[in-house]
This record gives sequence, C-alpha cells and structure tokens, in this order.
Amino acid sequence: MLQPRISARESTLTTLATALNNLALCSRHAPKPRQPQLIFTRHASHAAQGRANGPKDSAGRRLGAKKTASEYVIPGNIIFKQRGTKWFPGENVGIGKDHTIYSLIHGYVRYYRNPAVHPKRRYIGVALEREGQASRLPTPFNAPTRRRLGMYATPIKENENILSPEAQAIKDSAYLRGHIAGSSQPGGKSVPVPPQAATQKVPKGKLFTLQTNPFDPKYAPRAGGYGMANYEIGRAAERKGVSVKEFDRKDRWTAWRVRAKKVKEKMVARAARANRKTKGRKSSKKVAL
Amino acid sequence: MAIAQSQGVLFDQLPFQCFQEARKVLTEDRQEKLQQIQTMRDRIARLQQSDGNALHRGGEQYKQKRLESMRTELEHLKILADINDPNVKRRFEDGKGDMSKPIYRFLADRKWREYVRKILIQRVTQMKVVPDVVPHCDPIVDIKIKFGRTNVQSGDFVDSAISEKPCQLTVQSFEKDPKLITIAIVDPDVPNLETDSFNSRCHFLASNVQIDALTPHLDLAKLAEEQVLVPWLPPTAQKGSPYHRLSIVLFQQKDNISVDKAVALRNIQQTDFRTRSFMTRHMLTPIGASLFRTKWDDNMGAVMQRAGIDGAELELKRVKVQPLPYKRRNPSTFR
Repeated sequence: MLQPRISARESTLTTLATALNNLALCSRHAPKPRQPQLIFTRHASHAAQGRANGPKDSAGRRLGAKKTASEYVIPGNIIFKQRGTKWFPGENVGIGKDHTIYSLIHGYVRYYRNPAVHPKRRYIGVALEREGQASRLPTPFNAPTRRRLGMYATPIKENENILSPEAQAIKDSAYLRGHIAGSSQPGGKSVPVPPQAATQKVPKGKLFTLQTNPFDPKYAPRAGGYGMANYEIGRAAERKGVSVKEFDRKDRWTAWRVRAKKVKEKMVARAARANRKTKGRKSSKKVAL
Repeated sequence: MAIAQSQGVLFDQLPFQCFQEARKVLTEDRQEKLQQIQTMRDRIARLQQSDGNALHRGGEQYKQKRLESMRTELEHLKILADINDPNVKRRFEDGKGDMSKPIYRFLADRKWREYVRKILIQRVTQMKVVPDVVPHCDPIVDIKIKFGRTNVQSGDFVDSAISEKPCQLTVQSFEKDPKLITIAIVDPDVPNLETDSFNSRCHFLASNVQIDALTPHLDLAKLAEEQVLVPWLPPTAQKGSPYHRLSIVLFQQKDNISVDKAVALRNIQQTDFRTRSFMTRHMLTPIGASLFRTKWDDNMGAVMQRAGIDGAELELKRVKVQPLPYKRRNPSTFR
C-alpha cells in the first residue's frame, strides 16, 4: 500500500531565502506558511510484518546484569546472564554452559578491561576487598595471586560416631525390635535377639553352612558399616518366619514414630557423650573458632 | 633391520644408493663448514690481537661486541658441520653422546625443548609457581627430582616420610661454561590464620653451587657447609589445609659471582620468606623451576613433631560463607 511521506524538499538557495525570511521584521517579508509536498513512496517490507509459522515473539529472557559493580557476592551467585560472551570471565569467576558468569569466591564484583590479555574484551571478575590495592582488577602482570585462606583451626578429634561394642549392640537390638512385625504397638511382643545365639542346625546334604547368626546385632547393617551379604544370610529369615512390615509411604504415623525415636536417641547419645567427656559434671562447651 | 641383516658392514657404509649419494653431498658440505670454521677462528684471533681504537670509532666496546657475535657464529658453524652426520645422530639416540661436544649438547637441548620442557612449563604455570614464587622463569636447565630411590615427576604428591630427607636433583645444563647457581625450595602455601592469607616458607636454600653439562647430579644432603644457607626442613601440611606446593627454583648468579653467606643470612626472613627480594638483592635470574606437592597423611604428625613445626594437633576447616539474605520462596505455608 502506498504510504505518503511528507517532506519539504528544498534547494540550498531556497533554504537560505527561508532562513533570511524568518529573520525579517517587515510583515511583507514574513514567512509564509508553506504547503508540504506529499510524496508517495512504497517500501519493500513493513515493520509490522508478521511471521508465518512459529511464535511471533516470545517473552523476555531476563538477561543482563544481576549484580552491579562493587556489590558483595558469595560463591555461586550469578553476576551476568547473556547470550554468547558479551562479557568474558575474569578472575575468581566461572562461566556456565550458557555463558552465565557466576562468582567462585565471596567478594566484590568488578567490571573491567585487560588490554594485556586481550585488546577488546570486557571482563567480569570478583575482587577480595571493597577498597584498596586488592580491590583493583586486573591484578598486575606476574604479581602473586591474591587469595584468601578462608579456614579456621580446631583440635583434631577422634571419630565420634563409633560407639563402644555394648552401646552398639543395644542400639542394634532396639533397631531390630522396632522394625520387626508385631512391635509397632507399645509393649508389643518383640522378637528375642539372642546375643550368643547357637548356630543354625544345618540339615545334611546342604551346600554350605551358615557360620554366623544373622540375627546377631553385630551383623546388622548400619549406615557406612559392613553388613552380611545376602548369600551369607541365605534364607535364614524365611525359615525363621521373620516378617517385616512393608514400608507404607502414606502411613505418616509410623514414620513419625520412627523419626521421633531417632531424634530422642540422638539427644540421649549426645548427652551421654558430653557426660562421658566431663566425667559426670556439667559440660561447658567452647566452640573453637 | 638393515644392520641386523648385514653383519660386519659399518652403519654409514650400508649399500643404499640414495643414502650413499646423499652422504657424498653431506660430506662435501661438512668440508665446506670445516673451512669456514677455520677462517672464523683465524678472524677471531686476528681481531683479538688488533687494537680496538684503531679499528673503528666505536673503539674497544665495538671490538668486544664483534668478537662476541663472531664466537656465536663459530658455535653455530660447529653445529652445522656435525648435524647431518648419521653416526652422530645414531650415537645421540643410543644415549652415548658426549656432552662435552657442542653437537650433542645441541641435540639434547633440542630434544628437551620439544617435549619435556613444555611439560615443565605447563606444570609450573598451571600450579602458579611462576607468579606466586618468582615473577618469571625461562627454563634453560632440566630439573629431575629424586627422593632416595623414588623418582618424582614435577607436580607429584610426595609422602611426608619420604620427603623428610633431602632430595637429589639432576640439573642438566646444555651450555659449555660452568654456572654458579642458587637452589631455593619454597613453600608459598603455609596458612596464616591471623591474616587469613598464606605465608611463604623456605625449606632449603643453597648458593654457589657449580653445575655444568658434564656433572648434572646434585645431592642436596651432600653440599658443603658454606654453600647451605638454610638446611633442609621437611615439607609438612596441616590437616585440612589445601595441598602445599614445594617449588624448586634454580637461580643463576650474575656473572658467576659468589653470594656472600653472611649478608644473605642477615636478610632472610624466618616467618615469611620473600623470594622476590632475595632475587633482587643478590642479582639472581631464574633459569629453572619445578615443583612437588605435599598434603596431610598418616606420617605427617610424627614428621612435624620431629622437625619442630607446630600445628600437628590442629585441623583446618572451611569457614562457611554466610548466605545473602533472600526471602525464601518455599516456606511451609506454600506447600
């Protein structure tokens, strides 16, 4: 469709005349209102052209800077979201697979150029301090790297999770009692766990004998501990008639009871540990920093 | 295969026509080069005897500069004369090259630069020994580290029990003239809790050690009393600290002038050894660098106790960075 393009096309002489006329004080030489020339032009494509297939436009991707210069960031904070590398990763900064610039240390964001490395690139880095020598990026060429220790000292402790054998046996038997069928009611019948159980009577003609009692709490598998392999246990549980309640995700009541028991045991163990350390006296805990 | 099949025939007399024709050309070229070497030697002798001031308006300085460049050209001609000799190539590849001859030194240097030196530079720059310990280093000597019988590649972790005793270095120089070097073993990763930063600790320092192309082996335990400025301190690392880089830097003393032990000892800092200031004070240039690493292991506690280093009973733990205050978008009310 032809669109009118309104233009006042004049030559240089006429522009000069118009300029002088505008300066005139006499009414006879006052500037006359000019009739604009209407020139009809037609361009190949319109700004308002649509797309045939696919989305005409999509929602904004929220790209750009998320942290400005001198802002405090912690490790992992995204500093800049971009398509391609408008900004390159500088010091103490990483780059993701979609070229997202993120911080690797806690510090203050710096936007800078480094002509020694590349004449045109722009870099984003994180400096250790807000002001002073260590706040300026890029670090001088061949200067020692600026880094933070970021650690504190504590005395080395022996592993606290390892209990004494008796305490562990009590804990294991309690665990078994809680998980074997028929003991979800308080005071329900518990399966007797013999500490020194006789080995199973092996009928004649069997391929191998079970040397150890699988119901011995010593062999109960613990987190991070060693448990008996299934081939060792064999079908001892089946033969004994042990049936374990199947885990029901919807039974929040049992789940709560198990959780509450664990929490209580943990508190008891912690108190016992503290008690043991201070030999019965109240412990005054000093956190080493 | 050719040698195995033909017994009694010398390597360069093997009856391959192309090979023999090429040998003829190369022998002629060698004669030419030998002529050029002789003329250059004569020219150098004549220039040395002449008077500098009568020669050129530049005078003595000009004469020395010309002599310098003529000697370099002479060395270059010596290499060119022997480089095409198949026997030389064979002897070098069999490891029987005599390092007192320039051609074998040249071939060894070229082979070192092709691969081993590149690896060394990569290790040293990746582990940041270059900006942290010394500002720059252009290796011209090869360094090999050995603790007793164990060979240690650059950058390897060394057990504290093994590194308790001083190491043996093989410092291969590819130049004819003997050099006086200074050996420094520096650990730039000693944690300093007060400044929340790191200190530099010197584990070994020796100067006025002579090395040349023919004597590469250096046992740090067997150096003379006057040469050792800081005796061997076993490398240690506290439990939980990041690994420590034990960087070995070799410096050439300027014009092979001896380093004064008294002066050096007066200025060495005990707590924080500054390699850069030591370098500038005694006018040292780094000519070689390597490193090995150390971290906490089961023997470390005992080693630290014996060496009298504190901190064996302490463990370092990371200070947790406080998260920035954001409004949590998944409180229990949302569920």
